[in-house]
Amino acid sequence: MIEPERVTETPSARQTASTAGGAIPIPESNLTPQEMIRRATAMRKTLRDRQAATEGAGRILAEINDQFVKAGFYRVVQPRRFGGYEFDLPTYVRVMSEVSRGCPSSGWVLALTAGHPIILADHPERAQIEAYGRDGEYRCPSLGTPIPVKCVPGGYVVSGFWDFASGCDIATHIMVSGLIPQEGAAPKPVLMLVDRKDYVIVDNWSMVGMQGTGSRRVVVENLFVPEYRVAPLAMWVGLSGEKVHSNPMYNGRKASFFMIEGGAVAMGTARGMLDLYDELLRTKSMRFVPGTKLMEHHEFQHYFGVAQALMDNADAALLRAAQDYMEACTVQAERGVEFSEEEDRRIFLMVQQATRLAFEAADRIFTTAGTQIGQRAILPRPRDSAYALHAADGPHGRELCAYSLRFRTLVAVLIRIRSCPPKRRRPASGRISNSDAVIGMRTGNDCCISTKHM
Amino acid sequence: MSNPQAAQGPTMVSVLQKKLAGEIEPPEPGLQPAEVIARAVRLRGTLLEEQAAAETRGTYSPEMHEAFQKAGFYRILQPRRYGGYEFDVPTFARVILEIARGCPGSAWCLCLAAGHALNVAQLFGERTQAEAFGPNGHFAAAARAIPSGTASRAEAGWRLEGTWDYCSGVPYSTHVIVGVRIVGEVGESGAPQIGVALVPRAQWTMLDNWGDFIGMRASGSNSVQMQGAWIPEHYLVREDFFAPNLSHGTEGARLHGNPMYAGGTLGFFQTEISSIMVGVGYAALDEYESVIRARKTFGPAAVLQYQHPDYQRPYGIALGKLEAARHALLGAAQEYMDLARLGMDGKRTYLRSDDLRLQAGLQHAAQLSFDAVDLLYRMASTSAAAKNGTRMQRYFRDISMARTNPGLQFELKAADLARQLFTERDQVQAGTPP
Repeated sequence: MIEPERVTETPSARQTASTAGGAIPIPESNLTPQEMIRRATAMRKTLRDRQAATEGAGRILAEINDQFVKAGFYRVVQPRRFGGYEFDLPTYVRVMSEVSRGCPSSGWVLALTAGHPIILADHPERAQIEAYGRDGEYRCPSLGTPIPVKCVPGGYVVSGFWDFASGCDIATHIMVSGLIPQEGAAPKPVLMLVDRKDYVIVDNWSMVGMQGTGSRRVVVENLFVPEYRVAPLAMWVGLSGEKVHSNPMYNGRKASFFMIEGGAVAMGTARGMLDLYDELLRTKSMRFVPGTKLMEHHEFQHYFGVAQALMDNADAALLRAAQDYMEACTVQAERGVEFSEEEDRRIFLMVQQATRLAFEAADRIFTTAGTQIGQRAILPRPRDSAYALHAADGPHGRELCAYSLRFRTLVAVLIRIRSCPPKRRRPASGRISNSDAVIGMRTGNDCCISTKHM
Repeated sequence: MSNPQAAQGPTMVSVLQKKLAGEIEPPEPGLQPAEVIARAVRLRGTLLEEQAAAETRGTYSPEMHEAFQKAGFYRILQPRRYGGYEFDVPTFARVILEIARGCPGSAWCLCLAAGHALNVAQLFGERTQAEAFGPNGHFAAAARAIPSGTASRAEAGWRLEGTWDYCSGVPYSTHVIVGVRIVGEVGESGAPQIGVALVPRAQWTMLDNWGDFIGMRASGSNSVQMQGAWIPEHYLVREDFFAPNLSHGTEGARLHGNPMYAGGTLGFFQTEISSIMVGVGYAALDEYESVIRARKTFGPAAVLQYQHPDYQRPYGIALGKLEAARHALLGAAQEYMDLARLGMDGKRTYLRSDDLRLQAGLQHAAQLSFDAVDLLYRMASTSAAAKNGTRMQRYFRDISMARTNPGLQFELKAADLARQLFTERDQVQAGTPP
């Protein structure tokens, strides 16, 4: 774990960016990363209490969103020039994880909108100035599965829909993907910035978990998108246009960044399960002799210890990935060493394995939380204590179950992100083949490892 | 019908007399195991179509119940003498696997009502069996082994009180078999005596409390409540349902001469559960195939997913795991039969560790299926696997539900197995073999 005092800020970027054109005042100019993380931690209980309501509403609750806005979470990696705090990725990861620990759905929406100033950074400056507007309010899902667009003078005309628009309810914009036809070549995939007023939401979100994300369909009809609001689809592609920001964090490759976003939510979700498991073991008694609390039983101590160790490793790996990402950006800016596709894939797979560890922890918790232990010695117990036990079982068991569902869906959604079109070529280094990464992306390391030997 | 191992000498006469008195023909005397399995395969299509309705209802439909009855599923393990087919445990496992491949929840419900004819045939005396299997031989009994209620002495029998949760299969059960604590009696260990009670449907109420769970909603796992229920003396045996005393042979072995009624409980119980689990894996594999046959890969050179190695590979891996699981399942089911026969023939004692060993292998068969479902769930895309109303989501929920089943906590049972084996070996060393 990175201690708060070790979080690196980027003062140089802060000074230069805030003096440039389109400057927007920062709500709390003295806000520190530590304070933002503290706010996220403090919000956990409220978030947990509102989980069921969030799930019921099928979207992030307006009141929760208001609290996120007020706490400055959406501005965590937003450029200072545009009214953001421009903290670093490890800070982003910790804030998102803490929020997800309280409510996975709310955390997912937050992470996948609050992280996207880094995606918008690939757009021309004019698009960014428009996006942040006067007050710097910017919350923007980014949507894959590109659809063909029509070329017209000065831009493109877009009609179509995109599913899985996490955060579309509270968004100020969306970034949708399109395919620009190319003469005699494969169409060029791009991300297009669209204002909130220009899309409608269709409620088709009905899922096994992550129901509270409200990741619905968004529809755009016959919309003109000017050329300057279009940027190359960032997945697996290095920055080719102008560098709007001097802070190198904004100029890296984006595939591993997407994974870090989802990974932060995964860590928080599994950690939330560990919290519940801890409570369960402290409050639930064994059904049979000696009838002590589960936490006093070596079997459950073992489960808990292993789950916790898996989580600690997963957290550490994710934070390390976030640091590596920052470093790859910095080294590129300062020493001219390219942030290569290989590096992007390396960090990507690192996050994937961290997620796998968290998933394993979550799975162990889920399958052992409902265990009625002590089959080895079936001895009687008073009837009412059985009922009391059941009552104790109830809320925790259900909540764990709900967490687990949210988590599994989350993993499924991560797979979706991973399935965005990879480049059909071997990277220059030839060390990591495309198919390895694709397999790794899609099926986790069962296949990944096996295919490496094929 | 044959009963070659029946008691010899004077007792033989009385056995034969009783046998003649109590005997019922099964509906199709010539029915073969292969045909029963084929019938299960033929029902899969309908089961698949009715999954959602079964889930909403909390169990399979009355029409499906009738189809199961007609197919002979409830009688697979029931003694021939009492109108059953008395096929073996591997046949039962194969039928349940096929039903689970059509609808996991329905299979759970059927399996845990149809399977327990074996336990009744094993544990209870002749009179009880003749009465319970009844004049037409239709019998189905949910079971809850954990003692969740009491039995106290009453006029010529027992008075039962309590609520037994998770009585899977109860919607169509004619009886339930439940673990009880016997009031006022102390067992060998000094703790109150426990027993197993067979209770006809008229004596209990099925509570309307099933469905608020992540999955297996079609399993009909309602609670059963008894308030002042009464059963005759011979409907209760002083045994631990999970570990009945096999050292003096079993009622079932004596009465039916079939070792299937002489084995331990855990090996059989775990066969029931693992049959369903392996069936869910195959169901998920079927669904995965239909998903990848309909969806295209991403990218400019899009092909149908089933034509692409990235989607073929998970299919192959999952199928491999499921084949291993199926072989482990059927191997364990056969070993249960073999060990029970050796025990009945007095050649080798059916040990507690045998039961735990069978259970352990079967737990890992289920684990292989979980791994397969997990892989297929992740690979089938969010829209085809996580969205409400999709089959893959249902299988995923069903198997997630099942994974919390105490019997499947292999880590928890692993130490028990090792401890039991070591204890038995120590006993052999000390010259007092188990």
